[in-house]
Amino acid sequence: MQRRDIFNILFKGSPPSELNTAESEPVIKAPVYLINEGTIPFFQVWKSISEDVEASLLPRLTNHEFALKLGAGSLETPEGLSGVSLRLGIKDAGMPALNEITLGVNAAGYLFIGDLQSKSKIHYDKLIADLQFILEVKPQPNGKSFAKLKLVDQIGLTLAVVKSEQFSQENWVGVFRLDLGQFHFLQLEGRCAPEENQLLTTNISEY
Amino acid sequence: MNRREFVRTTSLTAAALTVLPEKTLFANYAGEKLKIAMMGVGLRGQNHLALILKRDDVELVAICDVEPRMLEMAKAMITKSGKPMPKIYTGDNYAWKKMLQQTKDLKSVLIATPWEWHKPMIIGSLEAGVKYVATEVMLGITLQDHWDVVQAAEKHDAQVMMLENVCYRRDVLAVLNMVRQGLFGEITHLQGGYQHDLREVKFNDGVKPYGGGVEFNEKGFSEAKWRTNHSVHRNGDLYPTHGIGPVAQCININRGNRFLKLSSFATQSRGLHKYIVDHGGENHPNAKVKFRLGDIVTTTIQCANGETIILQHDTNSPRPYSLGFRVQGTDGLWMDVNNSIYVEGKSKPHQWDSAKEWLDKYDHPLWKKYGNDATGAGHGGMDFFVIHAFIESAKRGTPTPLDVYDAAAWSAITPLSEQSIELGNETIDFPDFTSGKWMNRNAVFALNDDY
Repeated sequence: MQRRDIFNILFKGSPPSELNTAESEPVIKAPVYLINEGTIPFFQVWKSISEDVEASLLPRLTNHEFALKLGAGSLETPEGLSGVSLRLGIKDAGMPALNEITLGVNAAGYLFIGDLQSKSKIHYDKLIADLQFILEVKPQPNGKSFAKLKLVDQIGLTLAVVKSEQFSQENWVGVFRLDLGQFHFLQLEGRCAPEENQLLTTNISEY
Repeated sequence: MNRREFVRTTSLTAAALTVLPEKTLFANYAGEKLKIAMMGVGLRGQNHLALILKRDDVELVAICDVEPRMLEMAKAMITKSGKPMPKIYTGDNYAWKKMLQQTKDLKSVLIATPWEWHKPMIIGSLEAGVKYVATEVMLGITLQDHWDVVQAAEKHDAQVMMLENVCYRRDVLAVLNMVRQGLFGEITHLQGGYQHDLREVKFNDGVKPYGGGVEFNEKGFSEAKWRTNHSVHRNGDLYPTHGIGPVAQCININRGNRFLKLSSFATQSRGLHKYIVDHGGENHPNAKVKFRLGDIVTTTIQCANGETIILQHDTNSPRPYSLGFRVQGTDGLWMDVNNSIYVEGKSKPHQWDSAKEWLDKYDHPLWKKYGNDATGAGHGGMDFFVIHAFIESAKRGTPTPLDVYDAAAWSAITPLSEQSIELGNETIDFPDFTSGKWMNRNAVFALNDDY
């Protein structure tokens, strides 16, 4: 006698029907933001930029991993160290206002993104030469994002790293603007859908 | 034969030549002899000196060292060889500059000095007009050092070859031969390292080169005089090239591929302090020294073509020697720790083959041709090949098979791993010393039985 029959006798019940829990079967599937099939590389470089440069990140570019590289000049001024910063996620009128993202190196010599800053102070000598900021943003589940900001010196040595999970993918969407400091170049690299490869709008004349 | 065995079998009265075959290489050589000078004739330099003295295609014109004891040993070797005594430069740390100034028509220099002297000596040689510079590992200390050497070599259109001898190890070359013939399929992962109990190298009694005491720095002798200090002040993979050089050849680093990024982790530092306490007592002054170097440093590297590499630096703990190689592809792998190879479709499923049969079958043409000449040369014969490659390149005026970009990329792992650990094990971008040339350069290392 099967165990189920025994239970039927004991509890005088009818045979149990199939379970219907309304829960879906486990599915093993890569998240959409990790799938590159059907996308094409996006790459744009500006070699001459100044503080009043404005460019925009549109949503479809932020749906995939993207990287922003900025070449900055010395932070040294007659008054001492100046900061250098870039503001991203500035929303157009009509778009829902979200917190903007500011990143860079502050006058005290710390790399920062939002309200997070590097643990150790960057040596003064390193900040009075050309620098490169490398921002890598990776989409995460539920519309979140993981951002990693690195500061690299002129010979390619990583000087400081800050990582943040406090921004959503939506936070990155919008205009970005060079707030403070001298910048030599700007490079944006990512992936986007092929029919929409002109995802970046800009008022920069040289690109 | 490892270094310790080498020293045991050769007395400190410089009998290094006795382990080499008596046969002279390139006897009756009719071409122009290669003029070479040596900076540093310590125990490592004497390995190279022994090989140079065996060759009739090389003229040793000058040697330089600051240690009288080492110079005497080197001079005894030269006398015994029957070769003319070269000019000797000594007296201070910059005697090598005088040697460069005073030696006319010098075409090549071989550097075997403490690491921190490599960069200034390489650049000094290039600026003096020397077109072929061989240097012992490492290339420099800081990342800037590596850039400086690369840029100097480019500026002077000269060859800088780091003498990474393990690239020529017999099993390593056989495996490279297998990789090139596609036995392992597409290579995906590689491992290597420097896992060598150096405690008796880092500490000695100031008289013997290995062990017998817990002295270092000014009270130490040979490598303990300078190498141990790096363990006091630095925490990273301090000696990556023996591990990375061979595996880099398997995946054509700087020649269609390159290192992209790296992260390093270090264990706590225990072994060196424990050794001092165990052998010198807890009241020995050196027991107060704080060593920064973690006992085991593990570094992971990502390459442009997708491969990953794991390197381990393990020099402070009791252990047998191993470079821990693993070369793995889509069709099989080699692991040197268990002397085993597995090739899908040829090995029994899920069972290791003894590596020996495979390595014998795929023995590299270089070893087939020069194996007898290499017998007795330092480090199991591989020193012969690295010196041979340098000398043949210089004689023929061709690029060295290991070039300045290889040297910089392999050696820069040290400052990059230090920085990664300093930043809390962050992933660090790897600079491209070739400035983009890696995409179009072709493999040249050990393509045939020539050199």
